[in-house]
Amino acid sequence: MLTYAQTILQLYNQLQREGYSNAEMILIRNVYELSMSLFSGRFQPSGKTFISHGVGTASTLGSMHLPVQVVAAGLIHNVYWVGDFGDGIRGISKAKRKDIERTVGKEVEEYVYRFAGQRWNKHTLTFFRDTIDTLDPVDRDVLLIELADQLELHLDVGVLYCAEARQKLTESIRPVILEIADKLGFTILASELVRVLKETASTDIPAEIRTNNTWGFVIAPKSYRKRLTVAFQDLLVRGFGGLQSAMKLRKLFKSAKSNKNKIQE
Amino acid sequence: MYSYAQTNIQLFNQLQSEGYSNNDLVCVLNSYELAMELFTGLFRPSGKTFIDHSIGTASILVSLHVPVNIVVAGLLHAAYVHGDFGSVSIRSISDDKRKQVIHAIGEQVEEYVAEYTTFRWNSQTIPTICVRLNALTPIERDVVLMRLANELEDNLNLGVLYCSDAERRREFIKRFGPIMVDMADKLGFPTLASELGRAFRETTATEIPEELRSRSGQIRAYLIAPKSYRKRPSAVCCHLLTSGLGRSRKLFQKMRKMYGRFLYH
Repeated sequence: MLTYAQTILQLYNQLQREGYSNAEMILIRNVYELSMSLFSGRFQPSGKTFISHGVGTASTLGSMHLPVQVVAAGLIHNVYWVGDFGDGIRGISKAKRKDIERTVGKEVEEYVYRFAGQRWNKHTLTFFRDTIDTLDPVDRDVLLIELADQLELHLDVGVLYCAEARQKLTESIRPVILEIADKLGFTILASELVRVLKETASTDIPAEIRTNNTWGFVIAPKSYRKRLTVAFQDLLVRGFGGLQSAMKLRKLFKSAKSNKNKIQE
Repeated sequence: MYSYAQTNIQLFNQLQSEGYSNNDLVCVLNSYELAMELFTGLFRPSGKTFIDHSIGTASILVSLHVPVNIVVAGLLHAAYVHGDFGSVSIRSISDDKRKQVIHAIGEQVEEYVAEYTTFRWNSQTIPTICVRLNALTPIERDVVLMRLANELEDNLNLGVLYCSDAERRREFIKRFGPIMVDMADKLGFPTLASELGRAFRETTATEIPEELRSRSGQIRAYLIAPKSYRKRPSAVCCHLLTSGLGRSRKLFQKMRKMYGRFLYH
């Protein structure tokens, strides 16, 4: 059974043992410093810090002796959707890409960009499984990052500490990720995935220490408050989201009414 | 060599495997939720998250099979010195802060945290404490145990060497490490003594690439707030006031010295 780093110190020590050079370690240091500023205050649904999750993902990739760029990408793999750039906006943008590229370099940013461009669900993972032989090397590495991400989520039966809805989400993709790991030729990764998934399936944790969280969340320091521009943006987005939901409901109601009229005729 | 928890889920798993009850787990969960609020965004001088350090300290205490009250106190040992309560008085105990902590973890545990805060632990007091160990009250002995757990945690994974003032910290370990090992033995925890000895030996004998040392320049815990947040105006005023008072005090002391020299000559 392999053990994976959960702190940057453990990651540094692991990568040095694995034979990564000083120059490569400096890249990891730079990427970690970026993750400190972008993921500060962020927690996984289980209550674990998001930074630990990034470190764990990088550690998994490091244990497979992958190029340091892939390991570094693992550290900040979800930066575009989860990282706080200060603008209150999620997702990819040219400005963010430039920002990231300046610190981590083009190659690492490309991995992170492609990772963010995918919806990682059963549908897309099945597609990747079926077309693995046609993927270019970067996409194959991005797939590995996703597998490392999944392994990390299941470490220490972490998924069991989340809400049941989150557990159900991960359950649906488990068979596919195992097949992908096998097809990619990473047998140790495949066996580690089997191990953690078995552990998850066979362990029970007291309900009292399970969280109600399906998604990650932010806790800001109490001496801080949200910037007014970001708070205002949030209100607008929520309002817009409410408007969209109201319009969807109206559409549903209209189609139900017209179906009823057709039946009566 | 023991491996200690560095995340909340690792800590919960450890607590369960060490036979702590469900009630104990809930106590630890409550204190962890408070720790998330107080230490969010905070980092150790090595770059490790403060929350991971708190968990590590608690984990070390769990490995010694101490009562859960001490474990919980270990998790929140730095609450009054480093915790952000959002109030005006930053690095000190206040009635308001004590109320908040008591509400989360109970009066008995809070007493440990308060005692830990006021208990002097530095290069002047450590030798005396070791000599006077048998004369300490039970709470003071438990606080010494927490202090030793804190020291071990700081030295895990060569943590001290990744700080910007690594050499000063290494000198401290060389001078006072043997005394702390002796203390652990005298307190009746030979496992802790041997773990401290091992960690201190590693710290004094290992070299790490200087480029990997933290570039923060910080010798104490420091905050990186999420970019979408800014300091509350009240916190800004308080910070200006306290730093202004600090500077005025230093200036006054300097002037007194100069006046004294002037009189002497």
